[in-house]
Amino acid sequence: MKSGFQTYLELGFQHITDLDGYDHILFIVALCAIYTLKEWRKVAVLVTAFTIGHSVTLALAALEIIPIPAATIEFLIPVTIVITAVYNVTIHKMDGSTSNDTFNRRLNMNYIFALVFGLIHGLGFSNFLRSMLMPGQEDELVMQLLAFNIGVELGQLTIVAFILFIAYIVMNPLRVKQREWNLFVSGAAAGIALIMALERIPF
Amino acid sequence: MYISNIILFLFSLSAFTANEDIHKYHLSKTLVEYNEQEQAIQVSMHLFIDDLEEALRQQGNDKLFICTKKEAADAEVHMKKYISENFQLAVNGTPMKYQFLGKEAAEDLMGVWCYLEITDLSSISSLRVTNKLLLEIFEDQKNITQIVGPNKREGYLMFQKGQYTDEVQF
Repeated sequence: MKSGFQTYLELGFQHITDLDGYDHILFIVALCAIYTLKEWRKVAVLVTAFTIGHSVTLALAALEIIPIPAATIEFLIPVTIVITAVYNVTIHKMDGSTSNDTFNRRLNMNYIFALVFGLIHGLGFSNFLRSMLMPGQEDELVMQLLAFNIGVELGQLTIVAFILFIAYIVMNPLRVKQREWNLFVSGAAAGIALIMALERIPF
Repeated sequence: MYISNIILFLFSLSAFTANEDIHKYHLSKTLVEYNEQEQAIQVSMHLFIDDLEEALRQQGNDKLFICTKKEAADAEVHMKKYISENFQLAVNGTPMKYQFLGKEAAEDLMGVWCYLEITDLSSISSLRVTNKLLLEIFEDQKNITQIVGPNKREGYLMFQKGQYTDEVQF
């Protein structure tokens, strides 16, 4: 038998890295589109902001402090992806002087995005988590939440590492400019997320 | 021409995302608890109603409307049959028959709780759980099963495709 901690940690990891439910993966892809491998520290901060956001609402929703209809959340998740992707290609301007790989970041809106949109994704996780929790185990809820969140965080870091590695391959051996990589990735993310949002309109 | 290409592109994209329902994960959870005072194994099982109905539909039993006012008269018979075929317990090496005590809709009305019981178990040293529920229906089905044995010995078993039976020693 596995312990409850290990079980919920694995469920968290599998939930975020599951290719069938790829909306959370897509959001992380959109967040990472403007970064290179050299900037992994910034990405780590970004992902942590996302984790703080979704941990807060996951706890609140699992404890049934904020009941929000699942359909609304499932609609808002792709909306957050579209906004992030559009921001990637509109607000950021290339720094004219230092060539390919640096963006001017006067506004660090994407940290705010990660935090605020993390709140929304957390509600999405909670719909999943709530259907996993066993009855009559309120005393174990905190452990299960913590294990699930750690699993999600490990899954996210895996996804980030993968994307930054691909970005490195594309920008270095293949010599694609960062601007083009960002347009490609953000455009793809926005297109997929837009369809998802349209299919999930709850009203 | 340009617009029609975009529309075509969007349609082809939607092919990848069209089959999502709102609880897009396939999951069941079951608590198997040995109650020492009552000398019984008590089982609480949560299944999503639409998943269960899909499984029964594939066996030719359609329009059961489980846990609604329109519920078919024989819905519970089909549920019991499906559960007994796909969820089995063996205590101390002996396969056991369980009683189906009843069912109730989960709070959110998307799931159904089923309650099973095996009585007259004075001692339990090993428990084999076979949980194939819905594994044939959904590729990504996972069946979380929590075991609470004698002396509060507890843990989890996870069943998924290719792995539907496991034994616990107490």
